[in-house]
Amino acid sequence: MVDAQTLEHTKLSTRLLAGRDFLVKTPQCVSYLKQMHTWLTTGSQGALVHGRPRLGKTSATRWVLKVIPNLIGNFPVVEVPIRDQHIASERAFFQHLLRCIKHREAMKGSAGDKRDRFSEWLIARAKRSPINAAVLFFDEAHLLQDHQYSWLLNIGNELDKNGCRLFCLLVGQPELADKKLKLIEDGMEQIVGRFMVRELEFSGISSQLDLVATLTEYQETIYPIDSDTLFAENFIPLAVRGGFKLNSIGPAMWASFEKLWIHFRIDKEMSIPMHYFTSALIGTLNSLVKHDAHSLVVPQETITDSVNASGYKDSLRILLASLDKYKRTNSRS
Amino acid sequence: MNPCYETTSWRPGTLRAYESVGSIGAKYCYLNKVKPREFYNLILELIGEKNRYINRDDFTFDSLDFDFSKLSKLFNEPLPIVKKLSLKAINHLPNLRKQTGYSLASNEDFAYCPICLANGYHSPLHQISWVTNCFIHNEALINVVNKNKSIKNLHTDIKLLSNLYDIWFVESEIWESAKSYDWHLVDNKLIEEKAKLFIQALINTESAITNESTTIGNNIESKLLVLVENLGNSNSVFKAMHQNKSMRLGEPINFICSNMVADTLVKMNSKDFILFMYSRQITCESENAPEWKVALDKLPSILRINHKNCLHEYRKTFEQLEKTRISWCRWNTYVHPPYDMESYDRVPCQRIATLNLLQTILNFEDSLVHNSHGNFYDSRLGGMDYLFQDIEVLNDLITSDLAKKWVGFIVLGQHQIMKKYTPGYVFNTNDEADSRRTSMYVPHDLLEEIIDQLLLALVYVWIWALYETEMNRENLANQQFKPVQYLKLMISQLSPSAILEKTHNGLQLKIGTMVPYKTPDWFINKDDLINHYLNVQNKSRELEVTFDQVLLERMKSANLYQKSTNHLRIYSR
Ligand SMILES: [Zn+2]
Repeated sequence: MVDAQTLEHTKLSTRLLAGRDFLVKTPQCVSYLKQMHTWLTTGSQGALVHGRPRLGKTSATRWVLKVIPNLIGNFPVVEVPIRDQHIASERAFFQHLLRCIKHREAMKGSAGDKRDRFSEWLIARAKRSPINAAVLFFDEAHLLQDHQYSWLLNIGNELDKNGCRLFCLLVGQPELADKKLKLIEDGMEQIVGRFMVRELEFSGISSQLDLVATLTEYQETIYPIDSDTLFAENFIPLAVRGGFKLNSIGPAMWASFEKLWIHFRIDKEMSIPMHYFTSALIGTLNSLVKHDAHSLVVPQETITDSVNASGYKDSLRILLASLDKYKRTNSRS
Repeated sequence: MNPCYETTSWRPGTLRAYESVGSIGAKYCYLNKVKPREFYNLILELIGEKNRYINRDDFTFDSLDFDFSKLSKLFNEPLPIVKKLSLKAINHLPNLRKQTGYSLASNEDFAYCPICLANGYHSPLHQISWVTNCFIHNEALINVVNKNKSIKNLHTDIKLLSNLYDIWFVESEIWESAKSYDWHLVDNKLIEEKAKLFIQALINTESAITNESTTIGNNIESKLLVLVENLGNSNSVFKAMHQNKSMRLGEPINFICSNMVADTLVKMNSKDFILFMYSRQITCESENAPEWKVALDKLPSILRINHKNCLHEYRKTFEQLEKTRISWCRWNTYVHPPYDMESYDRVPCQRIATLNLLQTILNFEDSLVHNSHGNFYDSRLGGMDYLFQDIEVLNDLITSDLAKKWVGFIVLGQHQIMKKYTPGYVFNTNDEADSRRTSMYVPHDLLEEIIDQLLLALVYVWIWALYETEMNRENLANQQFKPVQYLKLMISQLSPSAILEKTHNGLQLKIGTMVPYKTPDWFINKDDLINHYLNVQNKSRELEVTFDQVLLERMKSANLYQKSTNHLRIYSR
């Protein structure tokens, strides 16, 4: 039998890992936010944001889009997941977009009706925003096809005609950068020129400083929202009340990740995807539950175990393999 | 990020207070690129499964369970404006309903203000049957027959969706910005401000009505106006929404009587008074005649002044022509007479048609005796059978000596002043005046005085309506209006209303009328008179020639060209 408290911890852990429940401002998020601010206020119409899986691109994007209205005012945003969708036809594509905005009439009419219905929805809202723009956030955008880009181009033109702007935020895996080159090769510079001029490569936590800063964010976070409980208090209330600071485990945690990186001898700058960081943090906190005390000392072992169990090791193995493969392909050609 | 509740492609900020369901529906279909059916489904959801309304003729948004907050979320429009789609506040005002027949029921027509329509707005306040002008712009509303089919489980105002959709988004350029992304719309503040004045006038009046008074008249809007005016709630918007905006409340007339008599009289309803107006009019003697009777009796001779020659000319040529026509008709095919007193075009002098109209007014006896439908004067009773037995306080009136039984003869055809000028009548010798024995109740004493005052207001309405009709004769022909239809319209538009209310020592009568108590200027000055006679003679010749030509055509086709020559005036001339 699982006790109620453990159940609560499990629930919290899975929510955090799914990136659903709350978004934490990492240093990477902050620079992403600065970029986005520039793009949206300088008239850009799209940007590529790419990086390896599990870096926390989706969460970071959500966080940026949630925060940025405070800086530049409200604007409509639609998050469009591309994975596993049957959106090959224009009718299905726009129906998918309509369903993303929970449109009452998503299923009715022809492809043209659906496109017009969607652009009407966007324009009506973009016109009311101070930046006169609407943002479409495509998650897993590397799965988008050429013709889908050209449909987006049409929507963009429709917004242009009416004095507002469509901004397509294309977030996906590194293939997205390759896609850009391929589109140029295939003579579709128009799409590149419109949506892909701006680019941001997303990396994970890449320094001890970043890692400590991220931990500090977690440390300050209140959870659940509207309570007066600090995030860590959900696990180790006595320790937190005794003055325990979450960021104090930063150096130890960084050392554990670094050890793995060195072990695989990867010839790149080190980076820890958010997912593994979060996983290691939650692992650590869960192990600390039973040791909770007013003056808590966190053993290095606990942290190392959690980092080892976070899945980071496997991800590095895959990374190494793909780098090798990349090298081999390049040397052959 | 993504919305957590249902959305639509509505343009937030474009919804207007008191916008009609048809107006919203047309825009919804355009913006969402869907068929009306989808909008009907949405409305069916919003009005709730129980589909509860107080009256069958309520507007769609007056549903008792209407989900305004859902609509507000769905359209992303502020709830206070969404709630102002409903007219619940003035939908059911029992006191006004009792006193005037008040309701917001619309006619089956599509009624609109051209200015509003050009700015993408239509309101149920345009559809109310007794409202004639736009509450925002004071513009006369235009009525168009609406042949759209009803929609199952929905109220009739939704039928206007397709009219508005076609007008705005399909055919024309009535609303110039309809297809652009920047809709030019009527300002919402202006709408709310004007609508508020209208609604306040009604609500304040409703709450000020007591059972110490009764309202008399047969025209809802005129009665409403007189009530609102009398209770001090009138304002520019309320007045402007009626065609009767020039109504004046006359000086109050006071009657001293006992409290009991006053109570009995304020219990009488509008129909009761109208019935007594009939009986008084039929039975009133010419000796010691009241003012209204004098005015009415004098009217035929006033109308004949300056036109004796016209009538003489008309009768002379008319009799001559009738001889030919009747002998032709007897042996051959029917030929229509060239003259027709029911049309200003087909008499030599306009006054002949006007006298004929007056005769129509005066021939009221038949309608009362037979009480038949479709008759001219039925309109005064709203086309219903209403008899003295239906008067609730009849016994009290008799006991208080305010009404008496009258038994006697009513002469029918007594007022047929134009009878001898009617085609087909000339040689008809066995047409005698008919009289009928009738019994009825007539007003007496105080009630008679009140009835006489009401009749006076009515008689002047008849006179001015006749005058308006004659003055408008040229427009009537253009608009394909028969003079008698126009006269009826004028009488109903000018129809007076009155309020009888209790005072500390009796009763007070206030009459709201739209015409002055004086005879209009019917006369023609001397110079014009010569021209007038010339015109009359010309017109007379013209009608003769027309007739002769028709007859000639008939003869040719009947191959009688030679045979009948000696019978025919055309060759003797
Ligand atoms: Zn108007």
